[in-house]
This record gives sequence, structure tokens and C-alpha cells, in this order.
Amino acid sequence: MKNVAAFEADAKAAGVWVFSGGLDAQSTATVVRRSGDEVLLTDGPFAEAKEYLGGLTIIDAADLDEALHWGRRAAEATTLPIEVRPFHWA
Amino acid sequence: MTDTDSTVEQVFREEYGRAVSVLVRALGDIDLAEEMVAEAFAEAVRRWPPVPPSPAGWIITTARHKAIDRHRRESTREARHAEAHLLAGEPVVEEVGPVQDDRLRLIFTCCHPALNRAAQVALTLRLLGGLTTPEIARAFLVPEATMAQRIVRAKGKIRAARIPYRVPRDADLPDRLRAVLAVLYLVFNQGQDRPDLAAEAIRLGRQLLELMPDEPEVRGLLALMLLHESRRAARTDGGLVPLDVQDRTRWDAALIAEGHDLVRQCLRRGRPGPYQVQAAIQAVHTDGPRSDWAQVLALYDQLLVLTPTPVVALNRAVALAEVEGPAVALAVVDGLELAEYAPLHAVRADLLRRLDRPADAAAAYARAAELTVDAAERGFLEERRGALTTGSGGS
Repeated sequence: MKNVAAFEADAKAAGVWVFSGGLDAQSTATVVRRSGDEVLLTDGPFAEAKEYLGGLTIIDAADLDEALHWGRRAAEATTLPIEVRPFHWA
Repeated sequence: MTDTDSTVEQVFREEYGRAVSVLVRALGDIDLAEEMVAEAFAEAVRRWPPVPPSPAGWIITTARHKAIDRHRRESTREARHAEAHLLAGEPVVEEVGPVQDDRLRLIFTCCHPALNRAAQVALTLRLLGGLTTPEIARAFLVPEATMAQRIVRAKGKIRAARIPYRVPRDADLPDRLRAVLAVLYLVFNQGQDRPDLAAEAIRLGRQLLELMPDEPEVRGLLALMLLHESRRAARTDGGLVPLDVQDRTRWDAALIAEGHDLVRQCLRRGRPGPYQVQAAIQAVHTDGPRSDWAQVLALYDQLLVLTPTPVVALNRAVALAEVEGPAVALAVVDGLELAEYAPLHAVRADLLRRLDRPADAAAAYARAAELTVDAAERGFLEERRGALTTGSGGS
């Protein structure tokens, strides 16, 4: 956790950090799904998967190389695989 | 083919990558750049002769003008002004410096690690080599639709994920350059029975060396490709001909001389890497009437330190057999975990044959022939196996 805090501090200092946060365990998930005219609730995640989204960090990067630089830092800090993708504001 | 067509075709081969690189920078869009360059070449076919003094400059200028025209037709008045100004404001013909950088930028974009290797290869051949999608599909034995989809997807990712159009920072350069070299070498190896692809890889290798003269591995890769290419005629003389019985008079002396020169330059720089060492091995094989196996073995020892893979260990074992005998080499080969690798069984077969174990050798040849996908190689292996059975009285 210390590494993760250091990563965030560095990203903030570099002016690229927008926000970040972690998701709670998969066991806390409830899925809301439209089915015809109804909306159904189910207990649990979409599907039990070996890899699942654990959290999100949004950074403001000029291009993929810059984004990957921070992705690498995040992977080192969390020791988790980091998927880097463009994010579009709604 | 008319003279004009062949002139345009030659300019296309030589300058397509340069023109696309410059236009990608000017327009910031790969598809548009390709389209404008294609239109400029079509215009060249209509307008030449006379061939302008700088054909590449003419193509680039014409492609830029076409982009401006296109933009004027399609955009609003204000955007039109801004963009046309931007396009026209850039120096039109830049023969050196920045133009070379553009080609370098483009090759690093094409070989970006965020793209898979197959996509890197396809984009490099298409954008820098000017090969068409059907040509690339044929070269890699992939349906045309699959290759088209691969290229569209890769370009889409470059655009959407913003893969940058620039030479990587120094800190990232070694890794990024490795990917570029791997792509060129893969294209070259795919050219085993396609001389045009091997020639394309060599052409791109020459360009890369011109752009990055201080990178010894670039020099090493070019040397390796030239020395391998120098033996093409002798290697495939009606089937697969092993090195030791190749007709050396059919080797290409000019390519060998150039390759040896490059290897010497690498040695002087003293920063060895896997491509340089492999080139040095090829240089020993192409020096004099016989290979100096002790020297080859010493180089493989060095290569094995740089790239400790079973395939390198197998190639080293071939040299080891020449220096310390087939029994020592066989012990090494039998310790390698490459059960599905045809060359391992071919090497084993040859060692067993030399150790006078024809039945074991025949089994190994059969296994190698079964695993290989190359028809010429299979023919060679089966021939070897046949010679074995007759030689040992049908045992």
C-alpha cells in the first residue's frame, strides 16, 4: 500500500493524476440487468473470473507512451497487471 | 511495361515509405496519408515523363497538394483556411534530416509493443515497404480478409489508443529497437523461399542503418541478412543443400564482402549483441574454402550467454560435433527440451548416422520429416534417410 500511495503522490506531483479508487471484493457485487420490460437483480458478479477489475486510475496523458509509463509504475506499485485504455468523459 | 511505368515503380519501391512518413506527420492520419500518396503516384503515371529532378520530392509535394484540395472540398470555411495554411506553410521538400526522422518515427509506430507481432510486421511492410494487403497476406499464408482486418485493427488502435508518432526516448530505445529488429528479421526469414520479401527486409535494414548508424545491432542484423542472402542460389540448388556441400562459386561475393565489412565494423565498436554474433558466425562460414569450426563454436558460446535458448544450444551442438565429435554433441542435444522442433531431430539423425547407428538415425530422420512444414526440407530429410538404409544394407 505504501508503494501505491507513492505512485499516486508522484502522479499528482507530475500533474497527470485525475482520480483513482479501488473496487470492493467480488462477493459484494450485485448485477442489475434489463430483461425485456423488467430489470432483474442478481447476487454476485457477471461471471466468476480469475482476473477481474480491482480498481481504476484515471490519468491525463498526451499519448500511449506517456500512459504506459504510468501504467508501468502502477504495475510495479500494485504488483497487479494493469490494463491501459483510453478513457472518454461522458 | 512502359519506361514510365518502370520508373514510377522504382520510385515507388524506393520512396513510398518516405512519402507516407512525411504525410503522416503533416496530416496526423495514416489512412489519409496512404490515400494521398497513392493518388500522387497515380498522377505520376499520368504526368511523367519528364521525370522531375527529385521524384520523391515531387510525390510528397503532389500528395500534400491533394490533401489540401481534399480538405478544401470537405471542410468549413474557417477550418479550411487554418488547415490549408498549416499544410502549405511547411517546407515542401525536405531531403534530409527531418524526412529521415519521419521514416524512423513511422517504423517505431509500426513496431510499437502495444501492437502484436503479426500486426507490427503487416504495418511495417505496408506503410514502409509499400506492399499491398494481398501481397502481405500471400507472404504470410493468411487469407486476404484476415490480413485486411489485422491492418485495419492495428491502424484503429494507433488512432484510438494514441500510439505516438515519434522516436522513443533514450531510456526506452533498447527495448523498442529490439522489436523493430525482430520485425525485420521475421520478414527476412519469411523470405526463405520468397526472394522479394528477403530483399525488402534488407532494403529496410539498410535504411534503418542509415538512420541509426550508432546502433551496432542494426549493423549486425544487416550483416546477418546479407551473409545469409549471399548463399541463396547455392542453398536452394534443386532442393535443400547443406552448407558443407554447397557450391561456393555460386555464393554472391559482393554481398559477402559487404557483410564481412559490416561485421568488422561491429567488432571495432566492441558492443556485441545477438545479431552481431550471429552475423560473425555467418562471416566465419563464408570466409575461405572451409568453415573454421573452432571459431564458430567460440561464437556460439558467446551467443548462448547473450540468448540462452534451447535453439541456440542446438545450433551450438552442431559446431560442437565438428570440434569435439558427434558423441559429445549428441549428449548435449539429448538434454534439450525441443521435442517438437524438426531441426533437433535432423541434427540428432545426422549425429547418429556419424556414430554408426543407422536404425536410430532413420527413426530420427523420419521424426524430423514428420515435423517439418517445408517441402524442400522434407525432401532433403527423406533423401538422407533413404541413403542411410541402402548404405547400411537395409537394416
